[in-house]
Amino acid sequence: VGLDIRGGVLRVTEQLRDLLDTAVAGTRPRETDPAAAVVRRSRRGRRRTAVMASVAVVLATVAAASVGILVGAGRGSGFPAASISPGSSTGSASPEPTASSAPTPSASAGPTLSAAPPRGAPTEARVVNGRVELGGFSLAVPPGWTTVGKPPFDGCIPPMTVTVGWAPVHDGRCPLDRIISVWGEGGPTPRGGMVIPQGTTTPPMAQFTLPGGQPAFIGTGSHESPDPFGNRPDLRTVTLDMPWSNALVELNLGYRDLTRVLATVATTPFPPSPLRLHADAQGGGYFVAATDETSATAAFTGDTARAELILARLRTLTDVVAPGQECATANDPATGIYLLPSDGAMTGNELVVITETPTCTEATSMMGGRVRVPPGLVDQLHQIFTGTAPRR
Amino acid sequence: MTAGGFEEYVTARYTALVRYGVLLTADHGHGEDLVQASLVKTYRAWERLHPGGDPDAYTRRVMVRAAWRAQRRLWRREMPVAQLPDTAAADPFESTDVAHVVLRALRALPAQQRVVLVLKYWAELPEQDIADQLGCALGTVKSRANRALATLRTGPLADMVAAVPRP
Repeated sequence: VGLDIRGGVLRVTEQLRDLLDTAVAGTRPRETDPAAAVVRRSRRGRRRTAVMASVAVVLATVAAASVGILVGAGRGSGFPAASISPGSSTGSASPEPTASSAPTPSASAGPTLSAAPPRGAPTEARVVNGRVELGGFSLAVPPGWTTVGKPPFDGCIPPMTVTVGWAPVHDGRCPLDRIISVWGEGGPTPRGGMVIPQGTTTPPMAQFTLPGGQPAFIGTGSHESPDPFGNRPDLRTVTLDMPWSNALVELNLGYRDLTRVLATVATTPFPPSPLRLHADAQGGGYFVAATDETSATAAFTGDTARAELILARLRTLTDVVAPGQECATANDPATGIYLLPSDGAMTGNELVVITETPTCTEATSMMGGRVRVPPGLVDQLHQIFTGTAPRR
Repeated sequence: MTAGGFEEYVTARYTALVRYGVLLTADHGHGEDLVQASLVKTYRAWERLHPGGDPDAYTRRVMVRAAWRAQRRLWRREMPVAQLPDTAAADPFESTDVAHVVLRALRALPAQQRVVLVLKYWAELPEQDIADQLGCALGTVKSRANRALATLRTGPLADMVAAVPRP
């Protein structure tokens, strides 16, 4: 063990290994019947898709009739009308609400357009005039709720709390009963990127457009119920990612509260543009192809040439979606494409989400830009990624 | 109830897997959750893993990949706080001071650095094997390991690691 530099390396290894061994030497599992727990969890996972389908209906409703709901919420939901004005979070002029589910470009875009945020720019959630703001995203703090800016050192978070700038962990120790979390990714923390084995089945992605025009990418969540004790079986976890605002939102709510809270969401409009993409993607790419409404299959390549082909194909998409003409809904399974930078550092990943259904073809870049896509694009990209024959 | 042999496998390996999960996540709750989530995949793949395959290697690989992407995945479960809450003192499972300090130091590392550190210094995998498992470049593994060590040398483990010559 005492041989020059190599000896130093050995000592590092041994010392760290001893420390790590010590750290877990006393660890005992909490689950007393793990095999049964795993089987139960597997079955719940399969049922989860059905649960999330109902949540998707709520999101789709909000997206399709966002402006109408905004008006309605001010009258009957118990949320103050003054706090639900789109765009109020940034002080910019608000888009005029209309009764149409497909507002005109001028109405939806509003007079103030923001530039896409620089990737990795620090953002910090804050509470202003009864709304939680982060970047160009905001939602109203429900009446009677409190906001908490720091995690408690111990104990659980009480119901009807908005955590600002952080999110509680789903570790089964505390119920997350009526908890909303708004937080962001700042500084060097990258966003996106799922490294999953070829052939892995995952929940599909989805995207829809929030009031104000920003996209939300939807995660189906990794938790069947935010209340592990079963006292509130109606609670659901919905996680939304607003990449243009660097904002993440987690809603642990019942169906009714979910609808009300989502009705207060406002986002700052962005100018329509083609997909904003990295200059290169020489490090490889990852791909999650939706195979049906409930599952998606991963494929990937580390081949620089293929990644560049994918990037080049995405650059050909120039049919920019006009404000108010967004069509993707939370019910539409989407495909996520991750492009990695050339330095292989796995940071600054780019995500493009593509919705391709008989009634809607739309691609959105997390760095900005939303375009129509030609039918069959997902299959084309899948073939490039895998070098395989068409899937169908 | 369960696929043939699965219950026996889980019963035999669960504690070891939980310890692995705790190191990968630096948290007892997360660690056991990671194990169970990974075992769900093992359970669903059991027919091709048993008896001819290696379910333990498969499970560990799933765990590592999940822990690696934990920070980067789209819908993260990580708490983005400047300072982590010091909950360890109330955790009966962190029974010793050293365990407490080590887990706290691991918790302060970004997920990718933590995963590489555990794979390199605890599982003692060659760097190329780590890169293969994670699907990343060898240079990424090296840089994550170096950064993790540098961080440990300035954190609560400084006294224990600082005297060690730099590799």
